[in-house]
Amino acid sequence: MTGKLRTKQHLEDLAIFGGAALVSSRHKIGEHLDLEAFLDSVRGIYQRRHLTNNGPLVRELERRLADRHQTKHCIAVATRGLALSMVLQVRGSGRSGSVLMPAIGSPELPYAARWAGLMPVFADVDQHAQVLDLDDARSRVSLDTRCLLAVPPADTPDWADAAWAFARQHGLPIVLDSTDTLSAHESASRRGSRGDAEIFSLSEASGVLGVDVAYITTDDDGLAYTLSRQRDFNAAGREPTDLRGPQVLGLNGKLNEFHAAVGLLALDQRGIKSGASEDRRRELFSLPAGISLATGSQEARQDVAGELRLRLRVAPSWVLSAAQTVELLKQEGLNAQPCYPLHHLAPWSAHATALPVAEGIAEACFNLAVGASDRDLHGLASLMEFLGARRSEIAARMATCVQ
Amino acid sequence: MKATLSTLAAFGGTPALSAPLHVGQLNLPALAALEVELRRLFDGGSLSAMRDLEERLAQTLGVEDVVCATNGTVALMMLAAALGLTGEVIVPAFTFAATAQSMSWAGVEPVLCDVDKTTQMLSADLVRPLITERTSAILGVHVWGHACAPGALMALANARSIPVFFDACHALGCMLEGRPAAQHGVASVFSLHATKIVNSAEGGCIATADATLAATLRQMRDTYLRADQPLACLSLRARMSNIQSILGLLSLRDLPINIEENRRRYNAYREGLDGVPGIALLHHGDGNNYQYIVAEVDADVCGLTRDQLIALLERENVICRRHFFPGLHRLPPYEFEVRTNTRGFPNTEYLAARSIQFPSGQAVSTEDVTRICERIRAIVMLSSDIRRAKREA
Repeated sequence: MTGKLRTKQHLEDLAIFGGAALVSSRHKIGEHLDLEAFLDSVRGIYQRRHLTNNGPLVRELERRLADRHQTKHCIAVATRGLALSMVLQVRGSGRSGSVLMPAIGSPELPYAARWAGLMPVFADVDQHAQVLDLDDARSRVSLDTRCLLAVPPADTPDWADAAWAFARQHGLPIVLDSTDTLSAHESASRRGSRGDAEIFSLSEASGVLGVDVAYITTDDDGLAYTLSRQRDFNAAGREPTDLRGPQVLGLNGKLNEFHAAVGLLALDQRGIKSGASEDRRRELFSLPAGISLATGSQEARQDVAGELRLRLRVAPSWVLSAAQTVELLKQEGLNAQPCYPLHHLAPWSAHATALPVAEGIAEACFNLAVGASDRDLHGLASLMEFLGARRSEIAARMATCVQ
Repeated sequence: MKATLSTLAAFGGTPALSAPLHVGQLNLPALAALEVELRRLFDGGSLSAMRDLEERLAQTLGVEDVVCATNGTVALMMLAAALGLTGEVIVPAFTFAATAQSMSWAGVEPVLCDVDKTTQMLSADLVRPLITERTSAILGVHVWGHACAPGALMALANARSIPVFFDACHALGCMLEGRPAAQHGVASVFSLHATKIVNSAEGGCIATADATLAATLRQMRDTYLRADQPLACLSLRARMSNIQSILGLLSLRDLPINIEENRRRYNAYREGLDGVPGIALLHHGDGNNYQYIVAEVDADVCGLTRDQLIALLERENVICRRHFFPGLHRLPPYEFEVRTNTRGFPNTEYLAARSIQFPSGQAVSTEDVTRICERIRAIVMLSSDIRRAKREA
């Protein structure tokens, strides 16, 4: 958020009722990136005439990220969905079967499994940490299970070890979608080295530039080699018939140099945040009654792009539903998303079994990412305060609008 | 001056070019124009760059709608899924690996078909025997921007009530059988890879006249289908970024110039290789984009195999390519399917052993082309001496 803050005085000031949005797209532009530094990168790309195909900026980004995560390998990929699909296809050995995953997470998870030729099987989540419930997962492991796909919590590092042990116990590979654990102010130690591979995304670093930057980290030399080939059509250089296993399906997962430049600048400009950001958030921004941080730690996390990511829970006293609150915040230009109950997505909804905890979370919780500057937090605090104060009127008016 | 062995770099001579020149030189729009547009983007303009690019591409391609995606392979994956294909899709064996790989990712089995030796592409006669009750579509590839028999393939497919769609990654800006490339089949996929005639670093797009198909593709790309939505289709977040879109828009503006420059280089190659024994330059007619300079090497006439010629040219800093080598039927995971059936791929084998691609693109001057052709001519003329020298060595 830059420029003049649009504080709300009346219901009509809310964007959903025709007012100006709190955050306009214009104000998001360039907020995360230094234009001149980016143009310097562009000039370098032009000078080298090397726009993609494992260019120097991609290699530098991979080195920097591997260092950051203290992993042996980092493979940059064009999008998070492709990164997930690649690892699942390789770890599924190209066979049919299923991937066991939590029912709360990014919608990209089950679709990635399908692209990889595998069926998603959903397990319920833990009420407290909102991650895969390993007891429920145990009951769903079958001979068809090829892989475990888990979303580790940012604030409980031991959970990933428990999930890894669970996978080993069942003889399954485990892939971690760690995008939401990517936190700039916490120790990066061991994040990236857990399981067979971890998937991260810097997409939030791009703001409305619309840039995706995903990457896979692993300490497995063989997997890293296979994935780097798979990303480039499974080509193996001049003699394309050698080296590759028959089960690896190639594709174009290459990150281009412009997007690598965005990723590098995001790391340079926003990547190292002090651990004081959470305290600062608490000082600047408290949630009104009826809405609270949803997960056990009660901590908001700051991602690598410098945005705060919060999962919020609405209580009945908030009056507005989670879905209504998401709609209100979206209309204000904020990055609010519902907690997707993945088993309700087409085409799996037809076969969905009851997953009560996940359904409860989907009903009451939502995700919100906001800039971490004082101004961003003041703006959000002001908006939430207004919503809290006028929630009953807003709910009534929204109901009228629907009618 | 008559060339001797010592003229050639492989035998101690000075390389034909002072620095390596690879196949696939880029066509970059002006840096100054890109900087202006990027400044506009950061200042809050150009927010709809991808939509603008889609509209401009639709106009250029002469088609109702265009949907942009992360790259051409992803666009093919999305298209196969959006068409609801199941079972088998017939694809040529002489094509880039992504043609078949994208079908496999979409959950359909690519059935490889040999190609016509002359056109290097599918023909209705070659496809017809492969159609079974499991065939859900035919995927033609407009190789080198030439027409992959669209009329005949569509007639065949219509008779079997299956769709034809095209991998037109080489064919942006091409007229095929008298119509823009995008007007054939239910949809066509174009590549905007850095080495293509329109360049968005990576990137691809799907062109179609079918509004419902375009809407499905956008839904797949932009959003996730929910339980209350009727389509049971895969989703893949695969938008093109605004940065890529801006580059693509500028590159698209340069398309007529780039075609003209390509044609100039093609004509220089044609002139320079005229009469060189055993080197047959692929003829591009009017309506081509001249992006690919391709020839067949006849070892019996030329005295050297294609691979020997490539090795000698590499010493001259002319880095050529064996496009589509060794043919999809020899690449995993498809080679297994080929081993277990009785079909042969004689024409694909023939082309994969003889086809050579020469450098072209913005960084290749007419003088470069002249030097390359002179050195090829010298190599071919000296082929018996080269063979003798190699034997003695």
